[in-house]
Amino acid sequence: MSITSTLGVGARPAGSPDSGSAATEERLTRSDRAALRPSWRQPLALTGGAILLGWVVIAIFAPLIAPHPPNLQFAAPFSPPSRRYLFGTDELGRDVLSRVLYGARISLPLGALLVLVAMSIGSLLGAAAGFFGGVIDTVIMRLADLFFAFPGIILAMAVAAALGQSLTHAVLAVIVVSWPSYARLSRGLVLGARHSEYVASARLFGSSGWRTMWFELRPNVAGPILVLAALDVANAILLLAGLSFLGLGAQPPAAEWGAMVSEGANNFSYWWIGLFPGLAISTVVLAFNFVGDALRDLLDPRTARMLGK
Amino acid sequence: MNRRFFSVLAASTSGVALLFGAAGGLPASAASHPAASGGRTLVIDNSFSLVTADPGHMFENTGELVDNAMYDTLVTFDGNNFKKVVPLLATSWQVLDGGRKYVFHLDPKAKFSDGTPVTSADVVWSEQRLVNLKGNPSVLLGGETITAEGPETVVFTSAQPNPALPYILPNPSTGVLEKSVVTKHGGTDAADASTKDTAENWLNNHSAGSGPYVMSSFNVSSQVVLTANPNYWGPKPAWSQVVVRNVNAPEQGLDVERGTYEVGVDMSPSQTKSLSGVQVVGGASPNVFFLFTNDNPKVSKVTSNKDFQKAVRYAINYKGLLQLAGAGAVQSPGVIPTAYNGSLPASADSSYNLRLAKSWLAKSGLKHPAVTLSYPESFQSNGIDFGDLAARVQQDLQQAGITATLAPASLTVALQTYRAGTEQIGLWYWGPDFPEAADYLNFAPGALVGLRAGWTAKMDPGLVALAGRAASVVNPAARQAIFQTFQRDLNAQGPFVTLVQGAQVVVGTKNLHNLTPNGLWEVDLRNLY
Amino acid sequence: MALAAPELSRRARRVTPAGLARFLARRLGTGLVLVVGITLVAFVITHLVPGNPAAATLGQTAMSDPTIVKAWDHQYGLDKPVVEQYLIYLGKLAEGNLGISEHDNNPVLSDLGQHIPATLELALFAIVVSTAIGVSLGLLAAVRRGRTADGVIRIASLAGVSMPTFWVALVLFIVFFSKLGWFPSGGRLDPGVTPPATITGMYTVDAILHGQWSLFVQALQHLVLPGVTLGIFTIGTMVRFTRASVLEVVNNDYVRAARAKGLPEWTVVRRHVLRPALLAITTVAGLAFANLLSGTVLVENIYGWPGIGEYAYQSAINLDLPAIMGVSMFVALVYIVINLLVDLAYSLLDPRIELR
Repeated sequence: MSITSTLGVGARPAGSPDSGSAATEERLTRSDRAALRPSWRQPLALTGGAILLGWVVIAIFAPLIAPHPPNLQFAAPFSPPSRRYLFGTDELGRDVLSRVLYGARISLPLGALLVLVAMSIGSLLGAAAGFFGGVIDTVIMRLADLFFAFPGIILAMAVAAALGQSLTHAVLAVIVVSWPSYARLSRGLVLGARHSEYVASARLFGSSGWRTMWFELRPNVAGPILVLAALDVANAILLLAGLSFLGLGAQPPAAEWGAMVSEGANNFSYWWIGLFPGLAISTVVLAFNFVGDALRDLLDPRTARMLGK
Repeated sequence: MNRRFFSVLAASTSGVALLFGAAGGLPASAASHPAASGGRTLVIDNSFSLVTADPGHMFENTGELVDNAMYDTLVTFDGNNFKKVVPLLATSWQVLDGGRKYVFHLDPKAKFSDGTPVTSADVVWSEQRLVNLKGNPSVLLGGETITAEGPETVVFTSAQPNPALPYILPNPSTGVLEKSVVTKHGGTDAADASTKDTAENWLNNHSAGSGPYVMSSFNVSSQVVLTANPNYWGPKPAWSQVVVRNVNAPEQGLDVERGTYEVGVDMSPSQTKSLSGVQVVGGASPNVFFLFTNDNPKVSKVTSNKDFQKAVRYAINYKGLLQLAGAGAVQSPGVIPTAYNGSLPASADSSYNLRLAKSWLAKSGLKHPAVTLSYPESFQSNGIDFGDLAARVQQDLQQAGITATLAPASLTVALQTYRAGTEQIGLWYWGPDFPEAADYLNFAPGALVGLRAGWTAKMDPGLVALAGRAASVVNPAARQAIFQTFQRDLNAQGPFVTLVQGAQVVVGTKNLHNLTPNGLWEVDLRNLY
Repeated sequence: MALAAPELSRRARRVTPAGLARFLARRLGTGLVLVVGITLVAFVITHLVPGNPAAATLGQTAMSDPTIVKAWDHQYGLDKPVVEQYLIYLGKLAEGNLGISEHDNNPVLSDLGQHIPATLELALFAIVVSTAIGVSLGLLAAVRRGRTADGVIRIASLAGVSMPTFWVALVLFIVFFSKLGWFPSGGRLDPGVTPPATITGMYTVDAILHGQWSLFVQALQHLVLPGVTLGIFTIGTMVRFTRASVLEVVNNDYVRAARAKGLPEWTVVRRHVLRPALLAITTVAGLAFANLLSGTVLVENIYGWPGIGEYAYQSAINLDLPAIMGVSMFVALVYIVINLLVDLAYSLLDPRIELR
């Protein structure tokens, strides 16, 4: 039962940790993959993609686009939005617009990077567990259970606080809480595929375990994992921003969106300081959710059926 | 909203604000408050730094605020004047034996909230308990032996002269507890009190002092409610109820704007800018921000270069830092805060001179020096974030041709490198343990903070000797003079560059009298009416 | 979340009492192992770190006095070897003792007891609000499938889960407290107001039980902003799930049959669609509720709500090891228990699902 796959609740990655057995039956076939294409033509997915593209361009060209350097304290503090400072200035006289634009250079790459790392660690471990079974399976999966039952944001807070408050440690913390969903998914997919005829025949022809995993299983496992990752980026960005908001992630004077909302909360009489960075986070996360939502519909036929498509 | 650890760096927060505006407070023994009447509730908004109400353990800002209201000390300060000690439980005292012996005479009228008279046995018991609990505040009375001579006389003796003692005793941690009551609930002053005393829990639900207020309820995360002590032996308390509640700093101003009798104590100067219809009273906090350039050549060949150190001193744009700190902040001429005896006049301020900075740098022979600047991150005091301050210092040093790489670390980690003396340039502040010059001898070569800057006793024996002499000078004028000399030498020869004292601001409804920020207990509940 | 879900599989078999007992025993056993495992993870993370708990609590001068540091370390058992510390912790845990907080020197258990009701009240409020709104919108979306309303609701629900909670909290705070003044600021009651005598620890409930109506109204007013903030995130989830489960039911034969009989559309929806979907929705609400309990950190931080999230945050920044472990264990326990209940509910709902 994929109850949780539709639940994007809390700090947890929105993936379906339990899709092991379910996804097995619904492993991607070539025709499923062909069905992916129309999803990109959906208006939601298109909108999401466009927003994301916009943010990527901003992140790359921030120094060219932004009117001022992000940390330059030059203007009158607390100037409201005006033609001169479109998003106003903050308590140190920095241009909020410039800081929001530069903020894309922190949240986007870090969100992508940490999902990539969590995905690699999780799916490798999960695949190993599913393929080799036995003690390896037990150890890896019990470990995954453990980190899964651990309240995500609290674990992240403990890691960030114990190792020290910095962006790097916050990223580490998010990875630590994210990898188990990939492990579960990939284990389930591998378990299903392991007994299929083509794997059995590969083994019969003398292919080694790792070799079989790489050449025969990987293509079947990769699709759903990538979808989970796409959905996960949104949550990772939210969690990372939340940690920075609490002062456990990015530190002043870094122009990070969560930290900027925190500055806004410290000076809430000047609404523009916190409003714009929050809007930035929302649009990025919404874009990822648009894309992920469209992908999910197509990848999980049962969900698609439930959604009436 | 980052309510960040506050009390950790400040050994404790004490000292006073230099006021612009409001009059100084009335002495605690002044006549009854003009507005004293029943039925009024005062609300104090405070971003809590609260762990315990037990004076023997208490070492946090909010704890000092409430314990000051519940527990009388032997002596106290004249309102917010931290240069003048006035009687409280003790009506008078003598300094004997060159500052090694203090004799306090208790006020026979003094009684606890249950009506029992305060005796010397209670005082001795309370202070010995404080020392033997080996908690945070135990350092306050380190090296003191406390004895009673008759029911109304208490004697403090120490091997070394301790002219700072009268300035230490107003600290609410030394507040006097009713021995018989606290003993009944597990209190002990024995040498093994640190393991045997179990009274803290009881003292977090009840009070056992002789102060103007008694505890009604106590919750470390939401609110503390005090009610007037009906048996108070001094002037009648002005409020029938005082509620100290945990509110994030940014919200405090709005609460005060809408409150009846309300005070907010944690706002930064910039947060008060948008308020109207309230009184905003500010002054300089006693917390002194400073830089040090490590004197140990093994740590850095660059920072231990004396010409380089001069270049740094001239490279800092102090006015710019003041702007960052907000209205009410002052530049610190020396390590001793401006409100204490022995502080340097403003004329001794270090000055910004980019030309001199560059010429000293040229003289040092260092080409394009690069150093690391360490500071605790995610940490603020008086609304100044160390990260923002460090970025400004970095900008200033760059102007002079010095490249400083920022090396922030979380507070607990940064404290370790700071203590180990391995930071090239460190950005820190010192919050006083007690509001007296003696606390700043920690900056002498070979002393606590001196060593953190790689400054050993061998490097400057002359200043070590001066510091040793200063510690035992009792005469106020002579004491002031020798501590000023100490600081001038420190500025000229030492590795420290004092930067600013942040602004401490209180916001209150307009109907309140005697509202002033107080470095020791945030706001003085005894004199506010 | 959904620890238990993988253990469910669709095989037709009846739930027998013996099977149920076996299932419960095994699941509780696994849960216990997990809880102990969590203490281990928390212990390792908090002990193999550069930060020094004494430095987080003691002042500068006290830290430079070795006797004080020694006394402090001794008081909290930090002077013993790490492995021994952990074994001592486990030993105490077996007796139901979670240790003493290094920060406020209270037993962690009593600290938890004080903070849990506040969060429970907040989370209950949020889940009630978001379920009511989420189910209605989800139903509307399902009924209007493919039409404008469906699209709008879909986008809105995605927006709901995309906005950072702490930012929503800030925006609501600025609008409804700072600008409009409709709701009070932080805290659970107005300053100086004595809370109702503790029965559940949830002020609104206790106030009703004591018949203190004005107190109830006040507690409710304080609950609205943080509760709604928390609810917005969950609404999106509830909408999605309701829509999906309703659509799943709609396609069943008996619904088509009911329609064919010519029953009015709303009767069909109410009797044949909503009722079966409702049980499923309830279980989702349960899971969402478990998430809310740990998801309150950011909201409590902004609204000064003295709940479990704020306690966790304070423990983390103070490196208060026993408290961090206590909070982690509590939240994990909630997950485990709720997952168990969800599985049980599912097996009752759909006998084809086997309890293993």
